[in-house]
Amino acid sequence: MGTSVGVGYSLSRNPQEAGREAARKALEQQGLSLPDFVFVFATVGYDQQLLIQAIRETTSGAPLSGCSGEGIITQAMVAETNFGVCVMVISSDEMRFDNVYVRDIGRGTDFAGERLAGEIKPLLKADTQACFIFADGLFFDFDPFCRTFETALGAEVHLPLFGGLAADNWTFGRTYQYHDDQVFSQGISSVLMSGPGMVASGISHGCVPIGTRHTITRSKGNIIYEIDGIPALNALEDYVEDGWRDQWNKMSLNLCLGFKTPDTIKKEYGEYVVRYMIEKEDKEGYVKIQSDVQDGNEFWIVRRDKELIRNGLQDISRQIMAKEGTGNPKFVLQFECMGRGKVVFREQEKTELIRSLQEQIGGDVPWIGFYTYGEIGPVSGCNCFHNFTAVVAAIF
Amino acid sequence: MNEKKVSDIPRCNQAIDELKRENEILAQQVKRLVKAESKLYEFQEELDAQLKEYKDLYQLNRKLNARLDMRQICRLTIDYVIQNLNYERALFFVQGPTGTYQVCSLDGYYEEAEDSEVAGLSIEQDDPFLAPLFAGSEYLLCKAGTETQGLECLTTLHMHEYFVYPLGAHRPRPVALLAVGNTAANSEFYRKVDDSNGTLLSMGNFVGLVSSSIENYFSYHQLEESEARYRHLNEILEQRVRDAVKELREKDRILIVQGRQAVMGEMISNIAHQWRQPLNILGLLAQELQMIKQLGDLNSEHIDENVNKTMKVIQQMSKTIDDFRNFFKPDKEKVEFKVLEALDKTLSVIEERFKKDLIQTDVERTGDPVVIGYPGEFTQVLLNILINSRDALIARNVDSPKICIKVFEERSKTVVTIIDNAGGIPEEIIDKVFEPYFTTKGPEQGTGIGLFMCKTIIEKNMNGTLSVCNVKDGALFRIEV
Repeated sequence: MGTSVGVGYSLSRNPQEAGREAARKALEQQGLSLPDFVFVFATVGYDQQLLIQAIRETTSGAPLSGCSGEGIITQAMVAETNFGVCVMVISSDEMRFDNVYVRDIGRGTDFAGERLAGEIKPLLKADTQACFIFADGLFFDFDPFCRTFETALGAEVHLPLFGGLAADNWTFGRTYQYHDDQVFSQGISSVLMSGPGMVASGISHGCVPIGTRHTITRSKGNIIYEIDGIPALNALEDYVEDGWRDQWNKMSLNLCLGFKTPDTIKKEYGEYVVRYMIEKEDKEGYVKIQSDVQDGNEFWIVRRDKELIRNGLQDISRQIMAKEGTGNPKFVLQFECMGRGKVVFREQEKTELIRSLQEQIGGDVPWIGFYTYGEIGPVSGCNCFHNFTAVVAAIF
Repeated sequence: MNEKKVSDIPRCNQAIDELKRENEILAQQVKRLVKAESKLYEFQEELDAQLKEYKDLYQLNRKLNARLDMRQICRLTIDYVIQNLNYERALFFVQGPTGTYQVCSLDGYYEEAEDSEVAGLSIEQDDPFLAPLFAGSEYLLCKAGTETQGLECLTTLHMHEYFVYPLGAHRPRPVALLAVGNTAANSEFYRKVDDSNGTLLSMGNFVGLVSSSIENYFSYHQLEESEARYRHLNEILEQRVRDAVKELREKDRILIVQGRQAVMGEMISNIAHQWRQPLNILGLLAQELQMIKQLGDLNSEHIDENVNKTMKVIQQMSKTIDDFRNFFKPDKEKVEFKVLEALDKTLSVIEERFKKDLIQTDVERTGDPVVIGYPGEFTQVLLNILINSRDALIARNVDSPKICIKVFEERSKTVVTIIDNAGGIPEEIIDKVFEPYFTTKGPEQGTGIGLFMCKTIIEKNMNGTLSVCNVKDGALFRIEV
């Protein structure tokens, strides 16, 4: 039989109708009734529990993983709306999908990394290909997570991580992670994929530095307290219009921070890694990003460049084809930063851009993805966290 | 060397200061650039949303124009509110016959219990809640967290922030109401209900479009009702015309029958007259047989001779009957016939009577014209005109009564003229002689339908003309077929 994959989506406002419709379409696409695994990405307007319950009922209770996003992506359909859900059903006698989860990552993502590794380790096999991570974007610090995760797995294990951070459409209140019947926040939903074949991926950001260099003068973990010797917010306020404190969510999208890329991945990734400031604190004047920094780190303000984003997407398809040739993938997962959606591109531009990427990789390949608060994908063999990128994982 | 270095220091410091200034200027420019780009993206997103909205409105307009059914208008309207304007809930009320506004259609996400409650919702037209709308307010607005004033029905709407717009023209109340809004629990994921320019413009454009569509619906249905009334009246009128025509035809038929019956009476008189002589002969033959027998000379030779004579007379009488019967046989369809044959047949019927009345009949024949029509009816016409002439001749006691009949062809038509010397028809009545029930003979003798029937037969049944005029000594009837 091999692997059969179907994708469906719905933009209905009713969570039960939407869940049923998306799942039914996915099943019908391949004539499946009892899939082996289900991926779900949805936006946060829905009653999440009712939505997942409807999908579970329609897919006969097949194992399920996923999370909420700022928008959803399938072949030829991109919807950044509060009401959208996409479902991928997989039936395979060659690939295996084991899903696990951890909760309460707010207690410390280093702790979460260790716990997730503890869940995953017993399931690891020689033919394990990758691990997909869907974590709460409001409570995630990648560096301690990854460090403890990889340490707990052991040096002998190299497990590529792919995924995206769950989003909540700029409300910055609550994101959702899905694991079978459970819907929760402050957690990580994870899928271990094993079997023959391989995962080919491409990553691209499309940002360029502008202006002068800045230096972090006081920080702790992923919190930047001071920049150039003054409170971080004061250092940044000249870049934004009046009223920025009330509209931080979108304002901060235009104030990306570009750090020098570590030498180990510079060749493949480029000069700068880009970080989004997910949170600010007015009283103390600090900002928070989704990976760790240290005092003395230098950065530049970077801007998103449409031309670079376009070219970067073409690079992604080239990277994937370079790894796996010209064959069609079994399916594709795409994790696209919400900062590369409607906040920068016109609706038609955005749709055409993603459509063009899909056509280069395979216009009829089952494809599912979501707009994230942060992307995860390996570069030069190292698991890395990204902002303002597109991470595309093609499973061959 | 050292002296040179020392002298370069101020220049270096100056250059460094210049570079610092340039650096500062550059930094400020970068900040302005970042601000400008942020604004650009913001405007772009707004523009995109506006373009999408106008495109959606255009599509909605096309759909509304293609539908003239109130339920479909309701459906499209609330579907647009949910899918395109992105409000959580929408209710479309339509005014019923009693003036109460009742939910015609609803959309959005309701829980099951709410669904049935809202579907049965109605608002009385004199509910104080609606008063501002009837007093000219463009809309009712309740923003999240504001107090509602005694509006019990709104708790049933299950919306914590809402707009209510009147739809369609006021007759005197608006024909429909549209309520859109959100619940407090979910409002952050839906479009906010507020009185910002953008929101009001958006709602105004949309409501204007729907109102126009509703007006189109009413105009269309009023037009349709007018058309139906007009069609109905037209049908009634047509039916009346059909009935009148039928009635007239029936009257014509009755008149023709009556005319025939009148002529028939005349004919019976003629038959009686024609049979009088043969009956005398038969009487004489019977008496002769009796007398021969009394004389004792009766033999088979006498008997045979008597029987032969009797049979000849009887055959002659029988022929007379046949002639009259054929004369009155109704015509079923148009046939070609010779006008002179019809004339001879007519004259044969009346000649004995005319002889008795000492009326001289002259016939001038030119050719042997053939016409298409009803020969029976044609002979009836000739008979009527001839009898009319005879009656006039007798009534006026003319010394040498005479009727002259001419048959000829003129400009591809067959013409028959009948001229008498009875003195003509008085000018004051000559235009009326063909009208039904017009007679100068009095109720005892005339029915007033003979000449009307003649005109009907010639002009309607045979597409010819029948006219009359006075000539030197009498009247001239002219038939053109």
